[in-house]
Amino acid sequence: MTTEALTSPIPQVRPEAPRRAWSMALPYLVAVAIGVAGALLTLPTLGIGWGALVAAGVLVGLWLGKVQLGTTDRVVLAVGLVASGVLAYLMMPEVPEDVDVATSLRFAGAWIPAAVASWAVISRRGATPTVGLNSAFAWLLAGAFALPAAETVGVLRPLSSLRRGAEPVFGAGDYAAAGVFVLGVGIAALYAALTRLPALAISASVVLFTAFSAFATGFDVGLIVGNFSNIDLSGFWPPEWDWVIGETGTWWWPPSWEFGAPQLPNPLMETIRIAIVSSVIGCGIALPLGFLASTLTAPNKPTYLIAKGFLNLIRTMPDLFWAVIFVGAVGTNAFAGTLAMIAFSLAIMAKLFSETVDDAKPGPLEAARATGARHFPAVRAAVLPQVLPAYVAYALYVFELNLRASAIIGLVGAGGIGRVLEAQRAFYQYDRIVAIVIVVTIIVFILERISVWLRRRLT
Amino acid sequence: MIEFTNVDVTYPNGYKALKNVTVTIPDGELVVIVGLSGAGKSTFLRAINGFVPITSGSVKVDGVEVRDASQRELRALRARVGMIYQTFNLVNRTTVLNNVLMGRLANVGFTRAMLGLWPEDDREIALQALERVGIVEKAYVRASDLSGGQQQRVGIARALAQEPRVLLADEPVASLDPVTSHMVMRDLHRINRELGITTIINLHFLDLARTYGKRLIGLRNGELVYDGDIADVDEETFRGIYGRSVTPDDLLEGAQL
Amino acid sequence: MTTVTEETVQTRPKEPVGPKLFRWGITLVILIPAVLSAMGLSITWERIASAPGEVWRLVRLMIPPEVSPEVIQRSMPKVMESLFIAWIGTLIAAVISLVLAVTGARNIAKRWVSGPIQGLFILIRAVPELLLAMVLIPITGLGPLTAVLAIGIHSIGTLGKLTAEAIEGIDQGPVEAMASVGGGKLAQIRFGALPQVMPVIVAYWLYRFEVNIRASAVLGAIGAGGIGLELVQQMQFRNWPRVATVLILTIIVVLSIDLISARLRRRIITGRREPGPVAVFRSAGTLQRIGMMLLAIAGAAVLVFILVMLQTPPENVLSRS
Repeated sequence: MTTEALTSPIPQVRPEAPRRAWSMALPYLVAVAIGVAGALLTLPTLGIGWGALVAAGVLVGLWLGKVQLGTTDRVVLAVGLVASGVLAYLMMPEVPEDVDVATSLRFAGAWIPAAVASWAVISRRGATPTVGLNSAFAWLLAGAFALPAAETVGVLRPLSSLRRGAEPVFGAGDYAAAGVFVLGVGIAALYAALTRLPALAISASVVLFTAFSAFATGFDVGLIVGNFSNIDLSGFWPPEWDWVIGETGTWWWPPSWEFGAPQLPNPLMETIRIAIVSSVIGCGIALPLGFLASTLTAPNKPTYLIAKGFLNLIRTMPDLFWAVIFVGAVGTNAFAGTLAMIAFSLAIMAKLFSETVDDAKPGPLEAARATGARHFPAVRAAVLPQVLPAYVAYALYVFELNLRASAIIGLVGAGGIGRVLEAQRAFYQYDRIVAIVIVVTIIVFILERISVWLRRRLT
Repeated sequence: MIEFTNVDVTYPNGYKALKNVTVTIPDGELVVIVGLSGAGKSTFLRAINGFVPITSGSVKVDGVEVRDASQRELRALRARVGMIYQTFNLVNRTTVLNNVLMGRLANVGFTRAMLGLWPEDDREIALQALERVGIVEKAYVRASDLSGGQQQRVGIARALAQEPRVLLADEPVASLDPVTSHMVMRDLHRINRELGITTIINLHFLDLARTYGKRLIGLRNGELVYDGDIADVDEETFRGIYGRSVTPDDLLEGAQL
Repeated sequence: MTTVTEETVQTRPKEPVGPKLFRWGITLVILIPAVLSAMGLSITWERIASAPGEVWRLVRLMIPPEVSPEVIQRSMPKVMESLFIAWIGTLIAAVISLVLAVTGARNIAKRWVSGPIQGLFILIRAVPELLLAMVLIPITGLGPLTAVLAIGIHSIGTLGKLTAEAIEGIDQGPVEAMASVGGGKLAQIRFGALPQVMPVIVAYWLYRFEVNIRASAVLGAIGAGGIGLELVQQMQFRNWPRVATVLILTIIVVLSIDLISARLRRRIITGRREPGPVAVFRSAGTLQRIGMMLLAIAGAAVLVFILVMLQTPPENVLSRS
């Protein structure tokens, strides 16, 4: 083989490796760090100092990230960011109690110059309009949420000690927190748009949200480890089995169909009963509703939209919230619990089921309609057999969920074991609580195994 | 009797599938339609049972104007027109008999249909339809457990259970191997002859068309380019329909015409 | 030309009774306990008939919801807290469940390793979050941290099961390819298995986040942080317009997170990228490289400093709640 054969006649250009999001990570961090440091270090009287540092941070970050930028772009960005910095500083409230909807919105308004500058620079580089608008929107959204977030988090407050003579109540600490938030989101969106690396914006937002969540929930590994080292187990271990089993020893048999004393086993039986009844009724209603909420089988567009919207709405409500509503309506009893669980299982079941119906093969339905069948008989004959196994599997899954949920709803008086749990919790009887938890866990475990086995048999 | 008069079909995306087609198909005839894919064969069939709305012109089935039919009339019309598909469109998870009973849906009351309580008469009709295509012994087997050829026969039985006056077959053998293709075509041919059902078959393979067809309609780019006895067809006619010479791909057995 | 009917004598088969019996059996197995249970719950026709009226009466009491700034400023941070709790809980569960699932997937791990881990998943899943939280309260106290741990632990069960199933469903080809070029077990997992399933797993995480928002709202009811406590208290005061406000706020937040998350999940699964102009980068000189390094170090130092400052007084964290 000759060298001519090896080198192709057409000169080949090796494409540049596409840039990965992490190559912008350091420039991004530098930009945010400079901006935040500015929030801590500048004197209150020199509001412009912060804006200047923010602008410098952003431009240095872009330079570090090797992003090509014209002079006009640089000037536009600098002016926008300095203006926003000054405005934000001026609008910062003096006292934390003043943080409300109005102040938050005013603070968001301070970031309009930065948003406009971002949008202008991104648009000048020929991106689609949505990219520029998204970036502008990110500045404003972060601005609106910065103050409430900083107030909720609150942990940056000790940083105020850095700045001498500053008011410790709502000082540099909260200021820095708000700054981290706005700059973190805004700069991430700007950089992501300029470098066409959406992953940068997404990961930066995730990290920020995580940091804020961790502070807000007081999640601290050191703290947890410290607490675990001095656990006192004597309060809830060993479990008080005698109380659970009952003095008479009639723990389970014969089953009592009456309302009994607020003790086991009757509340436990009640929990299982609520789960059974509500699963059967909820899944029963979900069958027709699921067909109405699928694009494939809905008789017409309005029906589909109404059914789908209804399902999405009731799906957002947590199980206990349903119980609150029905306890308010029909009183503190197991009937309220049953109604709540029906609503809960209907919401989950119909959603899962309608998605399965969407995926069913459309061919048989067309064939059925070609025989002159009416809509619903055609759906019944051509689609139902396709989705029935999935329906059964989901129904068993919903039964499992209901079993767990109906152990809880007693907390607000909707019957079942939750009522007993709440009573024991009020008296700090943790040994009894642990005993109940273990019993409930075992029952849920057994029933779940049965339903898994059934599901495997049926599909 | 099926009458197409100056039929145009334009899809919402602007694609013209049929252009000024005028054809009359008398009762009891077996017609084969050939053409390249995209020539408008499927659109032609689907215009007959109203699945594709026509843009202008008129399609009449036994004197009923398809375009003007109400929902109820359209259902009655579809009940008289059976359809057979390339992909069979069977419900795989249920039995063969249930699939065939789908052909009776138009004749069964709403409640009975929803509960799956089929009247004895309708079951009898379905079983007879299965006997006619020779797979009645598979009546209680799941449709997915059958071979491709058997599945297509279930499809035919489903159409027969409608007791139709017209049978539309959209590429009925395109998913089958040569041997089963011949068996399915033979079934269709026999049904046409014995029951006198008007049968319209879309086909891709020219030799099958020649073996089983009587009258041939050629479509090209939505226009009717040939309509006549299949015995008169020669290489030149095919060139007119396909725009090129016949290749082995156009033949089921892969040999020259 | 021969026809099929002439060739063979056909016999009609008898309708098999097995499936029919099975169907009736299943129906009875479902219906009998359901009817017995309904009797045990003293569900009567009068009660069922009167229920819609009672619900309607309650809805009338809730309308109009109270939307004074005071109520919103009281509830909104609580809703946000539920959101934060769900996020951290999901993250903890995501990290731990991924590690456990990789070591517990039957096609990767040995049987004596995968067996106990899968058993652990099932066991964890059987304990509802709320009961977990009740057990945790004596350890971590009343506060959002308890809710975070309860949600985190419970989600390990569900996420671990789903993740392990996803890993078990992979195409073995890339894993074997990694083994054939001499890759170790870790390389096989990292480059052979995970790239195939990571989009699906991340979609599961997002889905779990949606579920956990609801769960953390519920956990508030026993005082573990979040909106639940507000709801239960207002219910006990029978202050229905305020209950309505809390419900509406929750629905709005959950619904918007659901919508965003559903879009993200679809995007992750399909892997679609928006077309757009390619970014312009310049090449760096030596001086710039050195400057970059120095600045990067300085920036990192500032961040570390801030983080250290944040960590120092933990009492401050607790006193907030």
